Amino acid sequence: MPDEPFDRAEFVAYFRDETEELLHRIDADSLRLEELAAAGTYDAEIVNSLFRALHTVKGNAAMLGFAEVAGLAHGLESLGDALRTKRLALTEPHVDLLLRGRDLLTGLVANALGGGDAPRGLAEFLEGLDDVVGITTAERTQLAGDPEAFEAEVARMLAQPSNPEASARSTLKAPARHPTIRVDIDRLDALMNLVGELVVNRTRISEIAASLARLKADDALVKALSESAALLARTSGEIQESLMKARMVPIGQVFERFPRLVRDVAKARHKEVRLDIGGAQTELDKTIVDEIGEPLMHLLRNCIDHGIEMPEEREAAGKPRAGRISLNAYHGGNQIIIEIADDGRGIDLERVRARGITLGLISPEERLTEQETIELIFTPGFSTAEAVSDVSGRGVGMDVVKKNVTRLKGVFEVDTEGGRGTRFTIKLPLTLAIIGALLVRVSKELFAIPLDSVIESQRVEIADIRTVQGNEVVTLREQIVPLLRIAEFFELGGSRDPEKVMAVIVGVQGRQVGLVVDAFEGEQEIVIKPLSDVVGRIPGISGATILGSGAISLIIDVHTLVTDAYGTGRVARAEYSGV
Amino acid sequence: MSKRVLIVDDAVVMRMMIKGILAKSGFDIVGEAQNGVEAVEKYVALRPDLVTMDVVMPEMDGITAVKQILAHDPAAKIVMCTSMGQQALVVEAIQAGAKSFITKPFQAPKIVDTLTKVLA
Repeated sequence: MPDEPFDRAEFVAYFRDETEELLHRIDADSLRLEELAAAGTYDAEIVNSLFRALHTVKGNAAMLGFAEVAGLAHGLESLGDALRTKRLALTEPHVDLLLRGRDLLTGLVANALGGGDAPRGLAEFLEGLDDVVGITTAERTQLAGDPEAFEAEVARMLAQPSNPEASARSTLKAPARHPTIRVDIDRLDALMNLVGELVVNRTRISEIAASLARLKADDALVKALSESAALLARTSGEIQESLMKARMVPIGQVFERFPRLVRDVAKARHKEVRLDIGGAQTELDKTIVDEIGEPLMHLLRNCIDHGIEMPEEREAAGKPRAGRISLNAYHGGNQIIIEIADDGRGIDLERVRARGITLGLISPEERLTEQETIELIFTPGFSTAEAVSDVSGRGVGMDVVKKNVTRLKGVFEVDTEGGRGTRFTIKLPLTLAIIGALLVRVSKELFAIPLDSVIESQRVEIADIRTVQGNEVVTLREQIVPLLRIAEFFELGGSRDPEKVMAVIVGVQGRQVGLVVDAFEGEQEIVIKPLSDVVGRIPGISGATILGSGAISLIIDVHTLVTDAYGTGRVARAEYSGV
Repeated sequence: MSKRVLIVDDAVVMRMMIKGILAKSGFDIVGEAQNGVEAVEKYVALRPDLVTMDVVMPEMDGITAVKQILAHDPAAKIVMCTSMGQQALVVEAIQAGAKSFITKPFQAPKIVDTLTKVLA
């Protein structure tokens, strides 16, 4: 742009966001058109949607002076327009052109925004596109130039009495939608945090009202306070719920890029794969939606790479040539469940076992259950693929997928059946901001332990504690559970009754640890706050929370403590020495 | 008194830019709409002095919106905001009653100029 009377940089960020969304839409629409073309049918709504997306990319790019992007988008828009007005038929070669153009467009946009090299083959592509659509290169390059010629033409056309071209326009109608606005996620986070405080305080006020009512049941003021507290409780609960809903977005936002991914990966592997998507409307917290894309993508790649067989192999096994992957999301109680299932060959447990022995993870004599064998694939660096594929073998293993899911407080399960397929199940909480916690006291400190990892809390008889190679363990239901004394771990000091051992049994991924504390202080809903930058990261602590009483409680990072208790290898040693 | 403007465009970037330019030039942005349906609703509710109207939008396009707004208020001042290659549509909009048009990509003085002339 020759002169910049407005702050262009400010708009580039918006351009980036909006273009990314539009590229996803172009993808989804193009893929749908590919199906329609194959079936020999047509859907005006999809062609229109594609046309509008390309049109918007063009306008935005031109406005910001990204001439190359605008030029390519214009070429593709012309193709979309030709399909829309049925000047060109909806055929697979035309859709192929759209898909290739979309890839170039993605490359050009990234390049314009300062990331990545300019995509190759642009000139050749545009030439081919011009031939098909019938526009001239001159017309396309003129786009970022001077609009005077355009204005002159409009004036000329206005001077003429009738305009046959004007009737070529198709009216685009669809059901009316609720007006929406975009809100910075930080604002919602801040609001969520405040509401969290409100909810915690509401509990406290209800408690006070209840205590007073027990003392002075007939007092009018106490009655008024109780009623008021009940109303406050209801309203704040509703605010919390509405706000949580405001943060919810459909998981379809993540799903919509997958058809393209599956298509491309399958093509590269010379496999035939059909992807069925269900539950795209299922809503969950925006933060989780942002984080879940990567793991899901890896699982899909994994299904195609390792699960789905080559078409010939499938036919020989009496299966349809094309493999099927289904991706589903649905609500189950207070959780959202995402399933990815394929109808491929399943995980070869014998090979997993052999690989585990090679890597020294298990000894040849060891007997593992099916589930324990599957657990082996979550070990970093574990892969049974004979050749590292260029698609899923990018150094991102199943261990990373599992770690990502765990970080989102989710649970990851794998079911497999030889010759029939594999199913990955991810269970995620609806929100991460508020959790149920068990409060415990150690010395003078209050700690919160997330309830999702608590198995039970109980008093351990001192006689049941044994010491194995310097470490304390107890046997609970035939499982050896190491004890970890919180006071020692965090170096809190204080004296305690050696005869009275209170332990909270926590479990992560099937491994249990008994956390030894001084007292149990009940359960509470808590609002997680990250530890400030000043305090920095403390191993074993994942955050802090302010309780209704105003006291501060640190939230225990169960994952780290369990890893610590097992990481030293002391439990493994205890098991091998036959305790 | 500064003139009250309603901005209609389905592209966030475009709305932001037009808003930025007009706000700096002393216009009062009273509302934004991202499709024709919203544009008509907001026009009726807000009665702005001027509307900038995109052409290609989902739900209802800009030309239909121009016609519906003019049906509500024959004195409505609407300026089309259009991309090159849409000559026929601009002509149709102006024949339907739009007062003027600007072409994307436009520069700040151009849009301010056009709007000022239409309001004069």
